[in-house]
Amino acid sequence: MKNNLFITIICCCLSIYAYGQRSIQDITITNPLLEEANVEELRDFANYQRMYFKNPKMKFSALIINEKNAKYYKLKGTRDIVYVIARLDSISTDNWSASVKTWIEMSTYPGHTPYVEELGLGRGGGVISFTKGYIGRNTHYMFYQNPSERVTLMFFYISNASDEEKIENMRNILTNMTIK
Amino acid sequence: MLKRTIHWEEARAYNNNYYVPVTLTLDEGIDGLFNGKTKVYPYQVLLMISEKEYSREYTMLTFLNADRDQPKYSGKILFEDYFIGNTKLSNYENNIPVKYHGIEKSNIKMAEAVVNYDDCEWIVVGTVCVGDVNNGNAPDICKNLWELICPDIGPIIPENPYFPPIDPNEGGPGSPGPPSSSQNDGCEGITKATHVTSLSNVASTISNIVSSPIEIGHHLYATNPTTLNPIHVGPARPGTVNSWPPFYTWNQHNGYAIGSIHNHPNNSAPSPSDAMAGIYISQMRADNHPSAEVDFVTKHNTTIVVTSSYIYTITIKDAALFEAFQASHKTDEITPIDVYLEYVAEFLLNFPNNLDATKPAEYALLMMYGDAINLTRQDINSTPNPTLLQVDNQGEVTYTGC
Repeated sequence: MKNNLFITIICCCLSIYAYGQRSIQDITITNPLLEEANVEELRDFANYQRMYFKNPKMKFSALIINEKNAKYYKLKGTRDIVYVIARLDSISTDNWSASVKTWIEMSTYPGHTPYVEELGLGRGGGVISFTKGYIGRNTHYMFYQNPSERVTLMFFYISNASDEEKIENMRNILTNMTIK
Repeated sequence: MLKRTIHWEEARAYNNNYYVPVTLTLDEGIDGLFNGKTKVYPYQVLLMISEKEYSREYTMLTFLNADRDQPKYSGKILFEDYFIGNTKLSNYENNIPVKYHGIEKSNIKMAEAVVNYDDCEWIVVGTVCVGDVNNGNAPDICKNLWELICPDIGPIIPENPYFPPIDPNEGGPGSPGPPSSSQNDGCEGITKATHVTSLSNVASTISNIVSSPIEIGHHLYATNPTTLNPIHVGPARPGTVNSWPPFYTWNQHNGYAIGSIHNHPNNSAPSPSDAMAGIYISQMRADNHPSAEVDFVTKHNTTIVVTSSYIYTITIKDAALFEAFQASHKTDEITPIDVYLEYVAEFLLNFPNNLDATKPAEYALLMMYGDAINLTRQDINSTPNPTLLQVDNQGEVTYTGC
């Protein structure tokens, strides 16, 4: 009996640990700069970009629509797209800073130096990362973690704006975000 | 729909394959003409029949370049599994594939996966059904037929069918010949990984670089162009936080580089460049290295990537495909890392509860190059016991032994 109780307690602890982080469906993101995107409009994303992204320098990104596992937003006043996923693996959640470095290492284009900006966001942290001046795909990355909110998020920002404009936009998105 | 007429009487054999001209024509019942002129599909189409060990493969090749005056083909070729309908699109320069866009499932518009192909469009041209399944007890199996229509390419009625050139001077020892078709299965990948990472000089090199804050690479050298053992580890080549400067050589003076070892300071899985690392096989052919040496490289080329958690080993599974990918990697206008990152994002979206931080990148690498390479992984702190990484039908990464 005692053994069963012990095992139950251990299982409960493991469950709390494993499911302690909140999934994308468990949270509400509010941000005055973002509005929910109409995903139907994004299904043919190549066409969307052809219609609205006029900067010819950058190549277009692909976009997977998975409303169960991601949230899709439009940056207000623009056609830029932001989608967000939650990270649940233990390296991303328990060793967030290292996992961001792993992503930066992985996503840095050979021969380029990544632009990385760390933002102090109250009890949380944010990082912006992309390759300045790169004319490949137009996806840029933002990372956010707030242990007290039990969230670790990754943002994909798709835009053909200038580098400085993108940095400003990403900075504003992270600093104006509220998670509930 | 397009009617397929196979001209068996014009079949030719080349490089262990048969090539048969095919004419595609619009059914009489369908109004409309290609370019307002003809009911004959305006591009050269061949049915390629390849003999396999227990079967034959039927692939339809559509040559999407109108200019067929050159002796060697340059332009896009659409490959379509004749019966299943899976397709891939490759770019060729003088008969060598330089761009690869992966295999698309039938009935999926290429534009969903490959953007920026403004000049081509997928159009449903009809439906093909297989009837009398299970002696008529099962419903017919039907699928749509898609054709890639590229309006920017002018109409050419295939009066003079293009065949892969047959040059009796090609293919001999020491001359640039057709790509090697040697294959190494997953077990060979595991065996090689176990062998190489167990060598004392390799193991001590791994220990030396694993904690470095910058990437440090070493080449592995064969004793001579056709003898592997003993493998010699070259001097350290320090790089930066996210790259090292490989310098593959294949000569007596500088050494016969049969592979490399380097670390990833921030623990990322192997990159697309790592997957394609090694002597450029096409360059070896162009430089007239004997075919025995080319075969030796494709059999033994080994790339080791070290992180604080794992030792990854990459060897060549399919030599011909590896060579094609290498050539594509060098010239691709859509950089491989862009494709890689999109596959990583795909995995993150499909498996939100995945708890293994390295899986998304491993998935991406396998989706891009899994047919060409054997990728193994072993814990850095345990006795060499590598597992083979593969993607299963559910899109999950699996780790299996031999």
